[in-house]
Amino acid sequence: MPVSSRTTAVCVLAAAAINPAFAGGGGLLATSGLQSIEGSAGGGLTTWAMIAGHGEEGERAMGAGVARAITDGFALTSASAYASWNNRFEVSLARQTLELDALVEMGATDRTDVSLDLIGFKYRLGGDPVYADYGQFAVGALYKHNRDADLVRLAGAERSSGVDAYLAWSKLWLDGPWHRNWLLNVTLRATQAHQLGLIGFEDDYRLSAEAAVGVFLNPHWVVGAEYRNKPDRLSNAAEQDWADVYLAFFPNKRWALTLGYLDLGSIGGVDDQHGWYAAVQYGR
Amino acid sequence: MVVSLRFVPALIGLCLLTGCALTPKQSLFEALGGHDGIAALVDTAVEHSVTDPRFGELFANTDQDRLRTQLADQICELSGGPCVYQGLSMAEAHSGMQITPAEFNWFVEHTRLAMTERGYPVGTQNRLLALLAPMRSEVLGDPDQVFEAEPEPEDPLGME
Ligand code: HEM
Repeated sequence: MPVSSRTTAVCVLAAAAINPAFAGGGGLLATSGLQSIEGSAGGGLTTWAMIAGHGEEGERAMGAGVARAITDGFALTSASAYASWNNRFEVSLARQTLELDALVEMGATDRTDVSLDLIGFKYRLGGDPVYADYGQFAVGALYKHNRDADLVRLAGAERSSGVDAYLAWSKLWLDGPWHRNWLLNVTLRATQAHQLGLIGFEDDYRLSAEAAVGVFLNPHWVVGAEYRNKPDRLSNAAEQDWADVYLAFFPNKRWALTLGYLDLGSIGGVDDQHGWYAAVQYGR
Repeated sequence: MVVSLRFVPALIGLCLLTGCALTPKQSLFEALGGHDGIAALVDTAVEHSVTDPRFGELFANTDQDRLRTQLADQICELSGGPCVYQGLSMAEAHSGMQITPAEFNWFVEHTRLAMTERGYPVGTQNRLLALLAPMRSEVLGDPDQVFEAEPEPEDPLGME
């Protein structure tokens, strides 16, 4: 019996921001990233090396957003907020709630949803996505707590809270192919989580990698794709890598809207979870 | 609709391999509209910059005509046009101003908006921005980057 699961969602997103004005990391275009479903600046499913917000040295930035992903069997909502200082340090908070429709229908659980709280810290080691040839590097950690210990136990996971630690690299390539600006991100992560933590955690860590690309069609529109490798270690609920394609719109420096299409593989024993992702965020 | 995205890693690899084949057919100087286009662009960008209150007194004592001429020459040369920039080096021109990263971004933003205002396509804008970006470390007021004269050797021959 499957059990739980989680799910997810997510996706997409985006990118850098840009816009007129901007800054954190760029000026040319912005590059402050979006808010990932885990709260840290990134795309949708992946975390990037950017520090959230358009802050520079001596500046502070704050923002909040909400994302919703709907697959055939599940729906995930992620609400998140961040604060960042000096384009150096970012703190983020997020709550994810996964609606377990497919599992309820199968009679696998009587719980309609499960939620996860996330607290994230990210520190820019150095560099700059636009102005340093080698890009920008950051390290970060996420502390995650699953609010439904019973469901975690039922799923066969060892713990209901866990930590992710990561090293991320981002580069914004000016005037790349087709005279467009391109965003590249690669992140290496050590994680204890099953499906982000939505179905709990193990005692030991597994390494995983994620990558994202985006191309700025112009300063307001970015299209791209993400791929996130995931551990697969619950015998009764296979976990697969996640992927998405996205379109993000930055009407101005404060707002960002993202639309994505997700492929989340098997979730909680329910295979082939594909679906849509939409996110909106505001920052200043 | 079900679409598998398992091909995303391949897609990511592909986008890194493609574009390299696409070389510009038109020089950037031509794309910017030659001398006249560049002069008009510089006028607009400088006008926006010097009237931006965020810069405070930074441009208060600047000889704007000289700034426009030098900047236009510099962009002309950078973009492959028939000019030779004869002004100060970027480190010299901006030394002592302690330009911050945020100020640099505003300047870039004005340049970009000026290009949009003058109707340049995104590709042309990106080409010019990519030429300006590498000058940032010399323009910024980073104490380590500030232009310094070679230190005089101290009595190298021991001749008092
Ligand atoms: C890539 C970016 C930049 C380029 C290519 C550039 C280029 C130039 C050039 C060619 C000159 C004239 C040099 C001469 O007189 O021989 C100049 C002067 C000046 N620049 Fe920049 N600049 C850049 C960024 C900035 C920024 C970010 C600021 C301030 C926010 C700034 C403020 C000034 C000022 C105030 C002067 C006049 C100095 C004087 O009065 O003598 N520049 N710049």
